[in-house]
Order: sequence, then C-alpha cells, then structure tokens
Amino acid sequence: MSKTNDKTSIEKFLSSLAGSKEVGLVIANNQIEYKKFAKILHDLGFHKSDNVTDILKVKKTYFTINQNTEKEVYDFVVQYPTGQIEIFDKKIMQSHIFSPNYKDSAVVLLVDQDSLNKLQAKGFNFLSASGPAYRS
Amino acid sequence: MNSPERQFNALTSDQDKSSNEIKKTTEAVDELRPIIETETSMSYLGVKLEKAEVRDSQFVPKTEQYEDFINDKEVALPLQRDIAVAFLNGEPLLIEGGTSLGKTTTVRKMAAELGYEVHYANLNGATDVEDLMGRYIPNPYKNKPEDPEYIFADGKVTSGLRQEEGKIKIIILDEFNSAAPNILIRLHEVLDALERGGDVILSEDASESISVNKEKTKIVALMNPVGKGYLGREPLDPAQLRRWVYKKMPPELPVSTFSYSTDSLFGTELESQYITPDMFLKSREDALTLEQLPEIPGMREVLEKYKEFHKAAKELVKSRKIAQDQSQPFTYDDRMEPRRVRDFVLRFYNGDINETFQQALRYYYANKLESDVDRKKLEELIRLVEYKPKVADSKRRGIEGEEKIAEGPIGQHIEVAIEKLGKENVFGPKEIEKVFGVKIKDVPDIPFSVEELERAKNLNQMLILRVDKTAEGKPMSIKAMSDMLDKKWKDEGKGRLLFSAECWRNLLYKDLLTQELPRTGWALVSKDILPDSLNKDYLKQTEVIIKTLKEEVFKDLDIPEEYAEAITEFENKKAKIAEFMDEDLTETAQELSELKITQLTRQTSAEAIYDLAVYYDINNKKLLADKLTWSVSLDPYRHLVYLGRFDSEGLSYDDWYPNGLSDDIGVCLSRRL
Repeated sequence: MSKTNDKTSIEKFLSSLAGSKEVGLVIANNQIEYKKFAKILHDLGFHKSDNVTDILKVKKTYFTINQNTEKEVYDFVVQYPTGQIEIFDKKIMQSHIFSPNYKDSAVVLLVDQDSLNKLQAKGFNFLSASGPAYRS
Repeated sequence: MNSPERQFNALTSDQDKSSNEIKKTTEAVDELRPIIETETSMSYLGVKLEKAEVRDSQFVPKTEQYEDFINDKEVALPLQRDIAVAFLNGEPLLIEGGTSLGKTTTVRKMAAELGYEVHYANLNGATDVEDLMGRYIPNPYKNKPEDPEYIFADGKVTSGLRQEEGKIKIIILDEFNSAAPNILIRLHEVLDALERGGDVILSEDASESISVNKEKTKIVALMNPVGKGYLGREPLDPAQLRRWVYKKMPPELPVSTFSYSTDSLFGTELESQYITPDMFLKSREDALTLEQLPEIPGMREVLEKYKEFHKAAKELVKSRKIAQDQSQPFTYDDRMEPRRVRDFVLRFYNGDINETFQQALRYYYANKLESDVDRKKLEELIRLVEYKPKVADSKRRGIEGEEKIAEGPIGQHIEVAIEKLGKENVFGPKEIEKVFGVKIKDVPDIPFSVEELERAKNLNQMLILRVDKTAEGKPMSIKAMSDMLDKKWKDEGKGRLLFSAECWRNLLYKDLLTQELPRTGWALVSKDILPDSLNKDYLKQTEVIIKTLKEEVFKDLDIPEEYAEAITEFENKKAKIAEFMDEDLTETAQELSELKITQLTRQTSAEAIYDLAVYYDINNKKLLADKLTWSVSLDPYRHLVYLGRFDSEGLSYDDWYPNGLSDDIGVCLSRRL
C-alpha cells in the first residue's frame, strides 16, 4: 500500500486523490494541526460527513475519526476498494449497500496521531486499510 | 501432463467421445482463455459455475466495478479457480493472505459475474453474535395495537443463509482471525449445519430454524496473516481449521505479479502471460456417483498410495519439516481431507485418475503451504500417488539371485523404464554404483510418464540418474570423474576418459574441471546428435531443440509449465539475440547459456562427460565417437563449451563463439524436470 510521506503540501496531496480506489488518510500531529487540516479540506470543497452512509453522497468528502469511532467506519474503509460496500445498521438490522463511483471521487479520513495509535492498538489497522496517506 | 491412464475411458460414453471430438477445435481455442463467460455460466480456468437464475438484487455487486480487474496468472486466476472449486463442491473456504492480494475484491468480482449476492461481515471488533445471527428489535412496522412490539430481524449471516428462489448467496467473513471466540463457536455451528445439509437453529430467536443448503449459500472466510504487521490477529486453533478448506496465499504480491499488474495499470505493453494447460481444472458436466468410483481403473492402487501420502504429509507438518515459518498452525484432518478429496474426484475426474487425484492433493494439501520450497517437498510425495498400469511381466523379475534394482515404488518405476527403453539405456542407482561406487540412499522418483519413456525410445534416448557427489561425498567434478575412471579403466584396459592434450588444460587452469558438477536427478538424454542440429549456430540449434520438443517429445501432450515458459522466453528474446549476436559474441554467449530452454535441454560439460562415461562403462560402447555436442557451459572467457569425439584417446573439448558452425558440432537433447 503506497504511503506518501514527503513534504508536499496537503493541498497537492488532496488534489491527487481524485479517482483513487482507496480511501486517503490525513494524519494530524496534534489538535491544532487537526483543525488546520479540517479547514483546508473544507476550503478545498471536501464535504464533512457525519455518518458513513452519507460518505458517498458527494464526490469529495471527508470523515473524521477518533478512538471512539464506530466500527462501521473501518468496515467502510476496508470495503471501499472492493467495488461494493455493505454497511450494516445494527439498530434496524438492515444492510445498506453502496457501489463507489471512483471516477473523480475522493474520500479522506482525518485523524490525529494519538487517536490513530489507539485505533491501531484496538486492531483497526487504518494505516493498512487506507491508501495514500499524508502527514506534515 | 498427460499420463497413460488417459486411455481409460470407462466412464466416458462413445457419444461423449464423438461429441468431444467435434468440440475439439473450439476447446483448443478456449484452452487459451482462462475465463469464459456464457449466458448461463462462468468458467474459471476450466471450473464451471452456473450463474444465479435471479441476479437482480442490491446485494449483487455491479460488474462495471471490475472492468479494470487484472487477471494475472500467478495470483488472481488461480485464486478464482480455487474459489470456484470450493463453490462447486459446496465447501467453506478460508483464505489467508496479505491485504494487497485483493481477496475480497476477487470474491466480489466473481459474484458480480455470477450474479451471486454478497453478504459481508467484517469480524474485526465485532463482539456481538446477534449482529450476525439476528435479534429482536422494536417493530418498525407496528401501526396497529395487535402488531407485535418486537420482531426478529436477520443478522448478516442469517440473511445469507436464507434460501430464496433462484438466488445464490456468498457470505464473506472478513478478518476471520480477529473474531471473538463466541462468534467463532457460533459460526462453526453454522458450518456444521451446512455440511450436514440440515437446519441452523436460531437460538437468538428461540423458535426458528433455518433450512440451509450449501448449493445455495457459499461461505468464504478471509484473513490476514498472524503477525507480519497485522495487529490483533491470533492464530486459530488448528482444530477449528478442519472445517475449512484452508488456502494459504503469500503475504504480499509476488514480484512478477506486481510487475505485471503495474504494467497493466499503466497500459504499457505487456509481455504475454503464458497460461499453461496445467493451470486448468476441467469440471465434469455431471459429477460421478459414489457407485462409479470403484469402476475407475487404478482407484484401489491410488487409494492405498493416498493413505500413505496423507500419513506422510501429516508427519511433515507435525515435525515442522514443512510450514515451519507459517504463523497459523494447521493439520491435515483424518476425516475431512479424504472426504474432500473424494468429492473432488467425483467432480473433476477426467479419465486420468493420477492427474485428478494429484490435482486434488495440490488443492487440499499443497494449497495450505506458503513457501515454494514446502510445496516442492509435498509435490514429491504427491507424485508418488500414482497408478501405474501393469507393464508386461518383466523377464528379469522373479529370477532367483537377481539383484533388486531399488527399494519400493521407485524400483517398480525403474523396471517400467527398462521395459520401455531396454536395459542398456537405463542407468539407475545400481549402474551408478557400479560406475562410480556411489550408493544412493534416497533415489528420486522418475519424473517422466510411461508415455514419455516410450517416446524416448523412439528418439534414441537413454534414461540416466545423475549424482553430484562421489562415494566419499566429494564433488563429482570432471576432474573427480576423470581420476576415478582413468584408474578403473586402466585396470580394465578401457583407455582414458579425457583426451589429455592441450585442450583440457585451459579448463583445468580455470577451475571448471573442479567446480562444475552434474545437476542431480533423472534425465532423458539423446545418445546421438539431433540430426538437424549439425552445421548450425547455437541459436539455430536451440530452434531445432524446440522443434523437437513440440513435434516429437510433447506432441499431443500438455507441455510442462517450465518448458512452456522457457519456450516463450526464447521466442520473445530470439530476434534480439540474433540481431546482436555478431556485435557482442561473449555477451550473447552468456545470454544464450542462461536461457531457461538452454538450461533445461542441454547438458553442462560435466553432465555430458558423466553421461558418456556411464554409458561407456556399462555398455562398453562409446557414444559421440565422431561428433561433438554443444553444452550449456561457459568457459572462463565466456565461450560456449562443446565436447565429444569420444575415441580411443578420450573425450575432446573446445569452445566457440555462438555464431560458429561446423558439420560435426550439433546438440544432444538432454531433458530434465
């Protein structure tokens, strides 16, 4: 899985994501950077999704994750490259099925380093499951 | 490779045969196509699956999502074939391999083509069995007082298990080795029910049982390797693995697959992937019945050998002689593996019990191994699971006082070779001991079929077992052979091995005499120069070799994969080599020497000397008395070595540039596997 870790700007990184068949990962070193990245994402036209089922409703979207993030986000990231995504809603016990349209689409996860470490320790290997990654 | 058992068509009717002949042309073309789609079926390397009758469902992946799927021959195609076998046999399949291999994508891509529903559950972080099996939820449809407050809602697995008219469903259990123990226990109850073809009792519902059918529900579990950068994965209990057909894949893409896939992605010109016939499995239109099994010729013999194989394979795993580095322990189950092998034979028997049985063993035993080295070790055992039709009773057999050729099955194989080639053309352990005094403890099996031996006879070939160590355990170098045989032959008045003139000094000084050894194993070697190879340069000689392989050695047989690859490599490089031959002779010589086809079909100088010496010592006749064979060996100046003219003065040697030609220099075909 390719990981980008050079000193290119986050803007360049985000512009390279269009059409990617994997979810991009933006890792902030701290909360200040986290907020800065969120603003840049917003300014570049990325729509913030609060719910996994909303992620594919717009072409450019980002999702913030932290140590308490629902497992379904991980399920989404793992399935995104496979051509079909099934997200199961435990409350109503129903599956939502999505077929990603990769063309010109870009999906980004925004996470701070501390949360990422905790998620990885829980077994949610976002580093492996996601595609290109950016870190300042 | 076709084996002689092809002649047994007890289970193929005449009508089928004539129908087969009519289809021959189409099949020849189809053989080149790894994936074939018809209106009602898909075929993955010959394993045919019927499409679902009802394909209109949100759970069926969309085919357009997989338009750029890369069907590489090392990972993607064999994986699809193996998944197809599991689907066809109704077996739950557990695939372990790294994330970059695209396991989930491959299953979904097949589901899209077949119109199968996919019900996906990622078990990483899931702790609730009810998510999978179902639970009571507040009734979202309640609009009348008499409507129940709660209704039972299916979980992800339950929805995959429910049978619906015309639908076929796949349940994907992703990150299986991250599952909580309670979930594994519940899932194994489901697998047991599927295997029995019974009902799954929904304890979560306390009232319902679901009738399950492995024809309608396919289960694929996927997992990443334990360790190797994958956190939170624990090895599964080997006892749990027994329920699964376990397929071990590499932790990451093999280098050649990565290269091919990357080239595909960038749209650069691709080197053709040579899809070899042995990659294919041909599923039967109709499975055999259990009653038909005993009718298969050789079944009893193969079965006995299979029992020995199973025991030996288990021991190899137990003693960690194979799978030593695999983090997921497993065993070969005494009850499940034989049943699976039987079902495989019922589905895939093709008139050749050896081939079918050996394919089954590769599928259920070798597929559990990750490393090529381990697979090769097991392959040696697999090849022994073989039925050999009885040859005419040997005149040599049973004669009192006759020395045994070798112990066990290999002794029988050598006897068959002698029947086919004649005693004077077979040089096994007994002959090697006589010539060099070497006692061979573990005699390798002969890697050639009876049919190949018959052809070898027509091609004027001999079968020889080469060893690379002397009786004292020292390297069987040219010098060692020369020292040994000169002394021996002196006593017998047979002359010298090597012509002791200037020509050998060059080699001696440059250490080739002491460093080059025969490659161990059996070889079929031409006793004379290939007639068309005289007066041709090295490149043209190689073309003669390939022509002989295609038109004589493998005519109407499947070309072994390594030979097919070697021929393709030569065809791809031939023009360039010809173009630059005159510009850089030593570079070209090196390139020609390193070609796979050269390595497979020409002797090294040490081998040529070994072969000629053995033949002479045993039969008291000299081969290549007035001809020379051009070997694979390079001398220190990167000239290609040729040798022969084995007359009363001994063997002569010289070297040449690859563009040289002479009316007494040709090539002996020397074939190894």
